[in-house]
Amino acid sequence: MRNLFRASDYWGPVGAASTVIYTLFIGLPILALLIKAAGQESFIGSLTGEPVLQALRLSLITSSISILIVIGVGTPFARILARGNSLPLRVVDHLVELPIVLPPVVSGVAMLLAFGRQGILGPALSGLGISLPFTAAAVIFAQVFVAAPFYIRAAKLGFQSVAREYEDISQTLGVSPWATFRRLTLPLAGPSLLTGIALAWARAISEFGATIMFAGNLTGKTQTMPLAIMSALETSLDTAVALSVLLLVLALLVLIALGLITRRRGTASL
Amino acid sequence: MNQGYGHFRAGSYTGGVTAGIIIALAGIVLTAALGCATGTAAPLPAGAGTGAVAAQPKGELTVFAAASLSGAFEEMADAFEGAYPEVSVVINFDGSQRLRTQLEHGARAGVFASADWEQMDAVAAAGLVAGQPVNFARNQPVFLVNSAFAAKLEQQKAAGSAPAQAVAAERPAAGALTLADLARPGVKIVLALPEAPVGRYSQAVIDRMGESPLFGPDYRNRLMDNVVSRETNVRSVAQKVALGEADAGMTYHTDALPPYVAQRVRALTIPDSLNVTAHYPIATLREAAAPEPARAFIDFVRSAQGQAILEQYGFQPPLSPATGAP
Repeated sequence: MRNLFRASDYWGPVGAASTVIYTLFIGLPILALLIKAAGQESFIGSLTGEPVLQALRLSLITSSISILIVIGVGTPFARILARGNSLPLRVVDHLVELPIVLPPVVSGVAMLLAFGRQGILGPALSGLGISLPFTAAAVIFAQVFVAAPFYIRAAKLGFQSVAREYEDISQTLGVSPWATFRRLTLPLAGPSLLTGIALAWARAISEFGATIMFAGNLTGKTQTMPLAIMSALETSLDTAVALSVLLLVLALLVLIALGLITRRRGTASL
Repeated sequence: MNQGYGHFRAGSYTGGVTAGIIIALAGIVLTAALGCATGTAAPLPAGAGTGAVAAQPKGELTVFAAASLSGAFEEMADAFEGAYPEVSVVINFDGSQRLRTQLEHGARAGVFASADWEQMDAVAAAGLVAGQPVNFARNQPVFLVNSAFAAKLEQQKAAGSAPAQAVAAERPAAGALTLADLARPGVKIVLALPEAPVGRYSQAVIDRMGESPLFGPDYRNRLMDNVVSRETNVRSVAQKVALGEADAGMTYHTDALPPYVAQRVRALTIPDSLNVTAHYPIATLREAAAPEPARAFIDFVRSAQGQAILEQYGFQPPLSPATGAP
């Protein structure tokens, strides 16, 4: 809040007006969802059906696995990107962010063309007895594809914010590179990494376009929450709204939890 | 998140601003000369100089049409605009159940063409239909099978490596792929959502096949176990089979005909005794911005010219214009 008022002082009425307008613009549709949900008698009933529970379970499992993959592969990669400055690395740096601007459906088509049964790797995969489309693995592929850039970008900025001198000094004092990373770099870059995790997880759990293209839509197998909402929308707006509110609450809880950790971490390390 | 086939057609007004002004001026001069002021400032239709002309429909017409009508209604709109140059047609193609939801939540359109009566009746029950809906076309579900998959399976069958089916539907050419093969383990089948008309028709046909001695008692369950995805409209089903990501899928007969699909799939017809017929109703909507173009469009669809276009895309003429599913 303090920041908000400071900004208002600086910008005057323009700042205040834009703050109010934007807050309404974001708040009103979400409020409308909540009002619609609150007016339903069958709200709880809509949420206890087996397909809903299956979709919720699938969304939680796939997005958790996706985020672990993103962290596992993305962290070392972001560290290289943060320190490296060669031409190929700079090209890769831009390539990494491409999925952010691609329409998700295009990402889905691209994944089919690469990893689908008729895709570039299709024959090799089927030689191994693997067929990705229409599986939960395809859901995870789609989520990692669209979500990873958000984490890698945040992590790269986090690592760049740690002055190289600190790491150099730490190592001249005889601390091993791994211990330096674990005890110096990681805590300093921590808030950025957590922000990246929050963004990437949010993107993964809301993934729709690439999933329906690459993984299809089958209850209990590949139907995540966003796909269940879309399918419910075909028959009943009430069920779709109930599911949307459930997803909204879930997302808020995770983002708030991550926000709290970031704040505590952030103040502790500074 | 739009998975639909939003297809927008630019207006076909030929004249520019200048032409408009000239026509308007000519109209004013004419009305003044004839001494029959109509009280409207709208320019008269071309050819008004000849005197008595029926009011030509004009304006923009929005048509909500079932996804299976994609090719046919694009050509229909072109032909209609040829006959009524003052009207420009905008078409929104999607699964009929989605169009219905959009209409129920305030989307404005002049015409609704549905792939089944359920969606049309729901829109009518919501008080959105003006006049009586009428049948304008018929269609039949078929199974599409990816050609490469079919060829591979037939090779296996010929080599005898695949276990012989306990029950085969009909036995045409030895080793040819039949509907019975779709229940083999591992065949990847896509259907439309059960809420979509084609998904409902598919389910009805599969249920009937399950009850038929032609296919055996567990055919239905084995087939349903092979379903890997439920798509939102019929074109997505055809697309996944054509791409080869799915081995087979159930669509309408007409979805197998566009060249891109026809080159990549084989259509397996369902025995008449087990098949169902899709009756397509069309109606003008109460919310129509301009009712005349909407009525003219429906007349056009039902005219000899309109029916010829539908036939060209594989649709059959309606059995009767009767309202309600026959």
